[in-house]
Formats: sequence, C-alpha cells, structure tokens
Amino acid sequence: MENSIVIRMHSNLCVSDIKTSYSTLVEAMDKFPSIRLAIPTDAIVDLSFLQLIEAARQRAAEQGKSLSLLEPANGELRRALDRSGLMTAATVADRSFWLHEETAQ
Amino acid sequence: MSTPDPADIFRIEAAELLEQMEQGLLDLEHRLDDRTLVDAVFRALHTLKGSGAMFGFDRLAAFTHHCETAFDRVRKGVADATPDLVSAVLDARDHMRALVEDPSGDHADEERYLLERLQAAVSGAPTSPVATIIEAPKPAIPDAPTTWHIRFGLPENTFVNGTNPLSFLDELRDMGECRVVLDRSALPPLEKLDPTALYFTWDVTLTTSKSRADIEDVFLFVMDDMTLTIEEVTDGESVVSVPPPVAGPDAAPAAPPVSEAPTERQAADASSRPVAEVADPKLRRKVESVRVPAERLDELMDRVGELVIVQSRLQQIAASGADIALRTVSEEMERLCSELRVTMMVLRMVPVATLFDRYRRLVHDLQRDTGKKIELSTDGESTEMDKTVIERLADPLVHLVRNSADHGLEPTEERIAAGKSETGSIRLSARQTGGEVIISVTDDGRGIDRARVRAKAETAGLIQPGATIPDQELLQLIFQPGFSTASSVTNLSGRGVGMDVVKKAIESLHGSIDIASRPGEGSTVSLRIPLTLAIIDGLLVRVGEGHYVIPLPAVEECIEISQEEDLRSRGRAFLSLRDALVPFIRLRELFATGTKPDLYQKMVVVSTGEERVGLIVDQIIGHHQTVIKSMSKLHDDVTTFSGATILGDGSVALILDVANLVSLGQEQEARLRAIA
Repeated sequence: MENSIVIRMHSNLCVSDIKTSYSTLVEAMDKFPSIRLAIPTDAIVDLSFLQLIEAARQRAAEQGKSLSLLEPANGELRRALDRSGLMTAATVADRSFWLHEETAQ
Repeated sequence: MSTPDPADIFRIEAAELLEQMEQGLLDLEHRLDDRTLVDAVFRALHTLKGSGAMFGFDRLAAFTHHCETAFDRVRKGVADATPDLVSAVLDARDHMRALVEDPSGDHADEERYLLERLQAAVSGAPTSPVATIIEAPKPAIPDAPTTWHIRFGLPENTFVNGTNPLSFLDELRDMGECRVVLDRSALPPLEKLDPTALYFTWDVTLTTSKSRADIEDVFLFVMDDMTLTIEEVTDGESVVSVPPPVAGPDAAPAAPPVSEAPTERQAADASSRPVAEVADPKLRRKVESVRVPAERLDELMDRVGELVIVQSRLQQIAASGADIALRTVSEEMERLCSELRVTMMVLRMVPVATLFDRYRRLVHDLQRDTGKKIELSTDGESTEMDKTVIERLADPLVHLVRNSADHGLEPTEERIAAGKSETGSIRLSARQTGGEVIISVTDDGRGIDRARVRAKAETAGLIQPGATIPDQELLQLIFQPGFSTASSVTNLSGRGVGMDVVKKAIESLHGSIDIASRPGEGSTVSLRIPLTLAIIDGLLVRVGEGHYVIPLPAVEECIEISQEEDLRSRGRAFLSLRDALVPFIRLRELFATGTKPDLYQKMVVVSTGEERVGLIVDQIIGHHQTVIKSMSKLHDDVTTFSGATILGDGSVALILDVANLVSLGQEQEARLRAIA
C-alpha cells in the first residue's frame, strides 16, 4: 500500500457533482493512510462539499489516517466556510485543518 | 442518467409559482379583503424571488422584489389591495415570465413602465422615482433592536430541491448584527453519508430592529418542512451558540473555541414561540411525489402499447392450442397488462381544472380589451383527461372563449336594452360520457346570426344560393377556413382564422364539434374529445372477413338477431328494442364486403350520450385492449374509422368512429321518417 496521495479536486464542488467527489474521497481513504486535497482557488463550493469534508475528517480521525488540505482554504472555499458559520466557533483542530493555523489566536 | 440543468428545474418551478400567483391575483380581484389570498400571492412572489436569486436569475429576483415589497405593504395593512394593484401585478407577472424565459433580453423599458404602474398602484399617486416609492417607507424612528436566538434545520432534500441554505444566512446577516454558528452534530459517518442530503443545522444570534415576522419571512417558502425556533433574548441573557465539535482524534483535544465564546446556557425563554417544529428529522415527511418529464410518460405509454400487442399475440397462440399451462400464463399476462394499462392511464390523467384555470386570465384581459363585463364560470373541473389531450385543447379553447367574448356577447348597452344582465356570461363545462369528454363553451350572448352565416357562405361559394341545408351543417360553416361573420376585424377575432384552427385541432384529437345556438339567448360549442389517444378498451367484431374494433365505452348492449328477425327487418332500418325503435346499420353493406351474412348475426348497440344506433356485425369476438395507431394522411377523408390497431396475429383491425356512425344512423332515421 502506498503511503499518501494528493487528490486534485475539480472546480465544481457543489451538490450537482458531489457524488463524484464523494466516491473519489471514499476510495482514496480506503486505499491510503494519508490524503491531501488540492482544491482549486476558483472552485465553486457549496455546503454539500463542506459536509463531505467534515464527514471525511471524522472518518480519518477514527481510523488514525491523515487528511489535510494542500493549501489553506481560500477563494470560494474560504467564503463558504465563513458564510456557513463553520469557522465562528471553530476549534483549534478546525482552524488547523481548514486554515493551516497552528495556534489559537 | 445526466443531472438535469438546475436552470431548467427552476423554470418548471417558476412556471408553477407564476400560475399560483395568477390564480391568486384573479381571485383577489373579486375578494380584495381576503387576507389568505394576499398571503398566497406574497408567498408566491417571495418564493419566486428567493429561488430566482439562488438559480442566478438575478434580474427576475430584483424585479420580483418590488412586487413583493408592494404586497408586503398590503399584508402588513400599510396599503390596500386595489383593482389597480392587482392589475399591475398581473401584468408584472407576465413580465416575470418573460424574465424567466429570456433572462438576458432587453426588458428595460417594459420594466420601467411596469414599476411605475406598480408604484402608482401602491402609493395612489403616479409621482416620484420608481424605487423610492415601491420600497416601504422607512419609519422615522427605528424600533429598538432586539436580540433573537434562532435555531433552524432544513429538510434533508434541501439541496436536491435547489435551495441554498447559505442564502438564508445571508438574509439574516443583512438584518443586523448576526452571529452564525454551524452545528455538525447530526452529520453521519462517511460511509452512511448521503452526499446530496443536508445534515448541518444552525444557531444564530441576531440583534436587529426587525420583527419576529420579518425573521420568519426569511424562511417563508421552506417553513412547512423545516424546524425553526425563534426566541427573544431578554436583557442580561446570553445564548447557546457553541455546538459540540466533531468527535475523533482530530478534534479530540477539544480546545475551547478560538473565537469569542459566549457563556453556554439554555436560553429557554418562557415567551419563546416555536414556529415550526418536527422533533425527529427522520420523521420529516419524505418525498410524496415525483416530477417526471411528459416525454418519459409518452415513452412508457408506447412500451405499454407494444406489450399489449404482444400479449394479444400470446393470447391467440394460447387459445389455438391445448396447453393449459400456456393458457393460464396468457390469462395472467392479460390481467397484468390490463392493470398496467389502467395504471399508466391514471398516471397521465389530469383534471380539466388545470385547463380551465388558464381562461380566467384570458377573460380578465378580454374584459379590458372589449370593454364588456364578462363573468366566467366553470363546471366539471374534476373531470380528468389525458395530459396530452388537455395540452392540445388549450389553443382551441382560447379561440372559442375569445370568439364568445368578441362576437357572442353583446356590448353592455345592447344587453341592457335586450333586458339582459349587463354582465355577459361565458361558461366552461366538462363532463364525461363513456370514452369521451364533452367540453362546452356557452355564452348568453346574441347567438349565431344564421342569415349572416348563410349570406357569407353563399358569397364565399361554400353553398349554393338558396340551398336547403340542415341547421347543424349551416352552423358548422363557421369552421370553414377564412369564414367570419364579424363586420369588423379586431385584434381578438374577426379574421376567420381561429375557428378553422379549432376544427383542425379537434379533428386531430379524433374529436368532433357540435354547435347549438338560439337567437338572442346565446350559443354553445361542444367539443367531444376521446379520453385518451393511446389505448382503449375495445369490442373486437368481425364483419365479412374483416375485423373491426368498437370502442367499448360506447357499447350499450349486444343482441343476437335470428334469421327470422333479419328477414323481417329487410328494407327497414329500425329494430324494436324494448318498445323503442333503434336505427341500425348493416356494416356488411356499409363496407361492401361482398360476403354472405352469418347465420346468426349480432347487433351491437352503441351510443353517444342520448343518441344510439345498432351496428349489425357477423360475429362478436370479444374484449380487446386496443392500441390506437393513427391512419395515414391518405385516409383523412375516411370518416367511418377513427384509427387502426394491430391484432395479435399481426393483422390490422380498423377502429369504428362511433360518433360518425351514430350520426349516420340518425340521418338515416330522419330520412326514413321524412319519407314515411
């Protein structure tokens, strides 16, 4: 088994194409202990993608796998995080995962 | 299967909303004080605006916003619902439809004109710039801000329905100081996650001068299916807003929230008023209906048709052998096919109300265009017909209603002078008789001027001058191409185009048109339309060596005719049936089969409502599920048959046109009576 993989997500990260993202992610999590997600800056993101990543984080934590973003959230992804209220009461782990912040402000 | 274009999904939704809006406005026109109607129109406007914005129809959303604002004022009692407002919003509704169909078109002038009308209707004075007046006036002193704790969860199918929860959060943020906290606690494990379902819920703390009703309005068009509590936070209280973080090693340190964390406590205010609450999301109502494109139903119908033909073939094979097992399977197959056909038919049936509702707006506009007072009434709206048939009836009925309004109904002064009510009446009615639905358009106007019809027909060379023709034939002349008795051409009618179109459309549906008219009392145009154009129950008969299908709903009874009775009836065209004389037609002679009659012939008595006729056939074979196939253009002039079908052995049977045969029998009766 290889150790890690970088998944380059496509730029439609909305509900219309979320099943594709779901399959890709589930398959990768079954095969690799370490997954890094490359999300295009211009990707269109909606809540379905945030849900998917949150569920994937949960699974990774349970299985002792590593799931991370290649780059800190920016562009539409960052905007979706803020609009959704996900970052309002974010934990250190949340901020570390999404924004690559190592310590609490 | 490809995912449907979200814009197309929105267009379908928008069409329904616009329809609801129109019906609400037309009702409101007569009941201006009805708060329920005002709310219904507001709700449709609000939903259209919200959905439009979500699907990128920004211009539609912006335009609809003005109408919504106007109606909101009515809703809040700031302004009155007036005929001018209803009329302005009706026209605005047409513009909304244009914005849905052609969002990038040049609509600026129309938009400005409509907004000015709307502004005048709301303010009562056509002054000031558009936007400023349509927007509700701002209170001189703003209300004191209140802090609200809002918790909400949306149905799991929210995404699939095209709703974007982020837009609700944006709307709440626009209202004031807002703190939005997302709750992930309902998120299932990855392997159980339906990626298209929504699991997140929200806690929002909002400090705003807006009212509870304003906050509720944000969720207006999803309120029925969501959970929502709005609680006022009293002084000194703070509110729960930190949901538990996601479990697991990733979040295990459970560090305190980085952002400013309010004190956690249950904000259970005694004055709290839950708006809509469903305790267990799993108990939320599941999808109860599925939207299916009509062409898929047509496809399914074709498959069912083919299956019925194959079943018929199986039945023949089974009947010709002695294999009991095969016969049993064949009978079971026949039963299933029959049930499948009925189910299929029901799927395609829609109430005539969906058709009739369209004409309320037409009559509203016709009143304005003709200056006549017209009342539209409907009857039998629950009568159901095949969707395709209903769609194809829409245009013919437009012509008939227009014709009644323009030619049939007299101007108000003329009606009063004739001792009639000043309001003319147009009545749309539907009723089912056997396998047909009769849709009638009746007006209480002046009636058809037969002398003018005759004069016009003679001038056009349609009849010989002075020729004697039956009344029904004379009236039917109005359906001839280019025929019009209108002395002036209006934008409504008078060009003689509409009625010709009506006739062609009805004939293409295998239907027929009857007209009744009394001078000074009005006219009734009745369209007799088959319930469906696809599969019917038929009675398979043999005449000579040919097979024919008689639509079963038209069959009243079957009688055996002995040789004696046959001989007695030679040279006559009537048989005595329970003391009533029934005209009959020997199909063997009508079709010139050149064969000898069977020893025991049968008479199938068929009827179209009140009139009936006996059809003499050689043999009654039995019930037959008949898949109707249209006849070719070459057979356009054949009136005795309405179509054809393929039998189990591959041979073709013609389907008898019962209405035509009954009419033939009645003519025969009239002729013989005249001779007698």
